[in-house]
Amino acid sequence: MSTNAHTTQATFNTIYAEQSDAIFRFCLIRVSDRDQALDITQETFTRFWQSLVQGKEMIHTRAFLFTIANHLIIDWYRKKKPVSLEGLAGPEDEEGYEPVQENAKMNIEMEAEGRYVLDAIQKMGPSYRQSVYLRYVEGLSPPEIASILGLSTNAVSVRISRGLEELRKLVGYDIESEEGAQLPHEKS
Amino acid sequence: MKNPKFTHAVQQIRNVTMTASEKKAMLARIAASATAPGYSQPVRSPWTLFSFGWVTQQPWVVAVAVCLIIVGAGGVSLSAERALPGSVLYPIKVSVNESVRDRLAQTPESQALWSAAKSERRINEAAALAVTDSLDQATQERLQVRLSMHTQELVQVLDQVRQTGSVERADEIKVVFQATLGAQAEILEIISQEDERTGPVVDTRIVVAGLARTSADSLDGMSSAARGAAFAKIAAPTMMAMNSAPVAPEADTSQADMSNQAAPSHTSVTEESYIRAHEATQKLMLAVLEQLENASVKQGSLQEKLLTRAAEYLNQAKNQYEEADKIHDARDVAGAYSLMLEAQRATIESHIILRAALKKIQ
Repeated sequence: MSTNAHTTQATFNTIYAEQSDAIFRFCLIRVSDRDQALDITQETFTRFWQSLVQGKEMIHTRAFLFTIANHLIIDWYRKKKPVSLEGLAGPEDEEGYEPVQENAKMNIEMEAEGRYVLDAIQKMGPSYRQSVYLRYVEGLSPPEIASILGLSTNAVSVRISRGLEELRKLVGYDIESEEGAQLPHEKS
Repeated sequence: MKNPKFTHAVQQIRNVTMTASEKKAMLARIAASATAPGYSQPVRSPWTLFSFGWVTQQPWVVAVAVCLIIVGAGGVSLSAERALPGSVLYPIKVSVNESVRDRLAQTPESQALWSAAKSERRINEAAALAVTDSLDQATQERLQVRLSMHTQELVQVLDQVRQTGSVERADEIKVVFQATLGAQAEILEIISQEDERTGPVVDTRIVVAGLARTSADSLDGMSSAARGAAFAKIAAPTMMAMNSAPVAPEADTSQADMSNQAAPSHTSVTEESYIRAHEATQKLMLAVLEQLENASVKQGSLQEKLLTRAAEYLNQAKNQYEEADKIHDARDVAGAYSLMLEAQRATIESHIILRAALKKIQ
């Protein structure tokens, strides 16, 4: 293996170690199936590896990974989703985001407080759900979220702000707004 | 978040992770697939050749596409050059091609040459339609309007050329323009006489010939009849003895007077101008004469008629040329210059008719 290949491998290993859990969690919460989440996570990193080998330019590595995962999840739902007349006639979810199935919730082992907040996030409107999750759970910045969702940074900021208000109502206690919102795990 | 309850809940969500063995197994599978032959460098689907995204990322494809567009546009533009009124490409010819050339002509001299060329193009279009009997009344009127516009434009630009001090050049452009249209009119009339039996086609040829003559003569504000009268007036002493002067019977005194008012004065003409015009006319006359003498045609053919007319024009030019010399000897340089230009025009007309005859002979 050449020096370049070694460097690529080392870069990949570092990113995998840092981000694989976040990507897995993102997938698991979306598809509610651990095996499926593992498959999508693996496919995400495989594609990421190909991009590294091909020397594709990546501005936000983390956002790039979430973008791949997001697309794979949407593809998975498209293949899985049963076609019904109601489905064809009704308005489509603009984000392609499927709510977690009730019976699937049990597959995610989590303590009560975490489960309570996650359920609240899942009940949020589709346009706020992902922005709030990526911002407050995964600690992504608005520009990164904008890159993943294909929106402008301003639009994402507005969604986060409104989503936070909605989440506060759902959880029933005050959640401080952006100021002092630096999460302990947040990476700038 | 400041609220510790929420911070704690988020931390609990973040505790959802893969197990160490899952992580390790996944990494191994990714590494295995990555080292598999051809996996790290994915094989391109043959269908990518038809993918617009892939095509636009290839610089050579983009370069070829741009070249094709340019060549295609150039091809359309070139094809449009041959378009006639009523054709799909004709608007491109007059609105695009000619507008571009309008902008390219920067100096008054180039503008004058281009305005003259535009008038000739309109006459050529009318003639091309007339010979195929496709010149309807509406097309004829549209061409007439355009022709009139071009001629007015030429008159204005020629004034500008004169104002820049190039009087001789302006006279030269005017003489060539008038000779070209005059010769075209002459040729059309001869051909229409030849095809007399073909009926309505002849009429439109005569109409186009009339258009050409009107356009040529409108440049100095006089009809050809009046031009003949003007020439007769200048050359009266010697022309009396000659039969070849093209004095039209309908040219009355009033027309001649009007023509004198409308004709551009050459009071500022210098001796050098006359000498240059004299030399140029002489050279051209000799060249045309040589070609005429060498041409031989069948008797009674169209070519013979054209050659006869060319010879008549050359004879007229010779008379004007000699008379101009006499007037010059009488120290009327402006009058001599004016007549020498008439001789030049007749020589060019003779040359154009001769070329048409030779083309037919070949």
